[in-house]
Amino acid sequence: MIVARKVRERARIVAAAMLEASPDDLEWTGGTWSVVGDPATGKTMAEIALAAHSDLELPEGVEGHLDAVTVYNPPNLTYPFGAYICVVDVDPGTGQVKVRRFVAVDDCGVRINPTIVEGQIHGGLADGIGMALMQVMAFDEDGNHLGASFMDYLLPTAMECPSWELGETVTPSPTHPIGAKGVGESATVGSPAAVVNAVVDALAPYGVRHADMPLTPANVWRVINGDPFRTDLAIP
Amino acid sequence: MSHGRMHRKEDARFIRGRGNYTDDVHLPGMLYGAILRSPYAHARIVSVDASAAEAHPKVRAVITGQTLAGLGLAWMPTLSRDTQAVLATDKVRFQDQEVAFVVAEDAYSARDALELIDVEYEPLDTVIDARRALDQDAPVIRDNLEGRTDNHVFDWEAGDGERTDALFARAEVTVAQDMLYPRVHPAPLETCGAVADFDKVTGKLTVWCPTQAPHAHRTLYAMVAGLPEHKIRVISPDIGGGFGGKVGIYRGYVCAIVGSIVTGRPVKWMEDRSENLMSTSFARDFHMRGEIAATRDGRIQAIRVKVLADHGAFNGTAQPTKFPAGFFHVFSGSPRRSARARASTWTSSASAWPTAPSCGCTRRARRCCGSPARRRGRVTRPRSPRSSGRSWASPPTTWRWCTATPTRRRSASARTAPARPPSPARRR
Repeated sequence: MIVARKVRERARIVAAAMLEASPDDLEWTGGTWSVVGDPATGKTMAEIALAAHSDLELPEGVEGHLDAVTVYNPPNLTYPFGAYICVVDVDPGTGQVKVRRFVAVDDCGVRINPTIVEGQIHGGLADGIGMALMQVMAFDEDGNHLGASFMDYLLPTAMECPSWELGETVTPSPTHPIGAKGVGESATVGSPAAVVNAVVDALAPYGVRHADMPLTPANVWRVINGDPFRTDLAIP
Repeated sequence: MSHGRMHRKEDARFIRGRGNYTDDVHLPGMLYGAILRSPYAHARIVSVDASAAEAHPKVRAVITGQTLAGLGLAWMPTLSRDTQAVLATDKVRFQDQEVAFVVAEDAYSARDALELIDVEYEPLDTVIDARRALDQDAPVIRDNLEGRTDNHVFDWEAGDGERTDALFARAEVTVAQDMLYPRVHPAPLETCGAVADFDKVTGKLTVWCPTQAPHAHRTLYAMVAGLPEHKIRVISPDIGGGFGGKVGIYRGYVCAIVGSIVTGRPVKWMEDRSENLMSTSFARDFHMRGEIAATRDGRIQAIRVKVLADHGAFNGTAQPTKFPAGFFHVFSGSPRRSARARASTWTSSASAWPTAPSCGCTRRARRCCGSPARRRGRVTRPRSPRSSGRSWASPPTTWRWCTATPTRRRSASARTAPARPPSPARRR
């Protein structure tokens, strides 16, 4: 985008030669460079590009090309944030967890293409349900891998996912040229925590204060019965 | 404020089955590679006899660790200044580790020939629990490293530890939680693989590979193949998902390159699903302890976290590029927070590439934040950032819903219908 702006400035010089005006007398309106106050004179980028590589007479010392290179060193990171809420139903007899609702409000600054942003969030939320409820790469004492196929290592599908409810806040990043921030990993950060917190909340009547992922039916059932698979979690 | 909704340009070909993935690459004279993998998680390699495989009529080359060692290629760098074995030489360090590479006229012959390679192993004790990996008597996984006598990779600390400890010492309320973030895997729909084509006439190497970091790959291939970078072209065609798992350089890619150099023909290697799950980078596997110090009315004053991370047999975290952002730095930006991470690695499990280390800490914070409020029996309003003394230069926030239609209330019958039978109990 920064380099596109540079290309546009090069186009201004070529357009000025086409319109026999000074570059300072041109303005960018409606996708064309035109003389200030006279949009009918506007030249599109396509017309400018054709002229730049043809026999247009350019001023002394001006090169007739529309190329530009830029190196961008971000002045700072960007900080997307959000708030997620999950509603689950837990069957105490089988330990099965189903996600009834998931509300995700993300702030990734200015959204260039909301379709892609929402797609990223949908994917991350599904990934989070997978991590929270189904997935672990486990090993036995001999180091045998117990999750080496999709029989054991489950992937979340549309059946396990609710209809995602997304909201947005837009706090433009002050350190980005158009205020955009990243969003690719946001949903995987928040969703496992929201799902696990919801399950633990659902199990509060059983005196459950904590449960570790993955919250498979077997794990949930054992947690409900006060006998989780792992109790020795402290770091030495 | 947001800009226009536009369909992606690439979706049309993906939906119609006209994508161009690495496995769709077919070159004249192309050969196929297959990898022989270790059934043991930790074992010494006593001998490797590939003569029967070499005699297979369709096999064109068999590459072993010894072959590579002779070329100085048996070990290669990782993204984290560690090294990883391309093909095992002294011992295997995780189940499914690469031991030999067969190049044959077709993929099936290559697989058949794997069974003709005779490897004698001497099984060793394993250590699979990161918390046991630092015990005095734990088997040392990376004894190939000079002077290595334990499984400890590094300690890492961020934030103001002293000030944090002081706040904890005088806090009105403290809560703590031990938790496990299990090891998970990106499991992209398209597995990893590569087509390597070394042209003997021009001295140029072309590699098709579904990589998320083609430039980094080119740099490493330049080191490994002894070619200058301008003679290497890495083509990353359509990728069927990566999610971090396709950042790193896997051993099969280097084997395919060596296979192409040795045979003078293009070599394709594509892994199957089990190989993908067992030998490519995983994520997470953190033992965590999170603590919060707060006032009685629920204002958080300090956060302290301790993490023990299992990095598998080889340390390949994508951490150097994310170091300022990831690994707790964002989480512990305030002086009132401190984070300590210890990576105990080199357990007998697959090489570790935590795909997004920055995410783990924030998850932990969220899990911890639930506790103080619950302890008091009601939800308290979090402290507004404006009153914390920080200046917020950013413009004001706008808010709206994205979803066009709200969730329909499901009928009672729909809610009770099971989506899938519960999975069987998992052995730990």
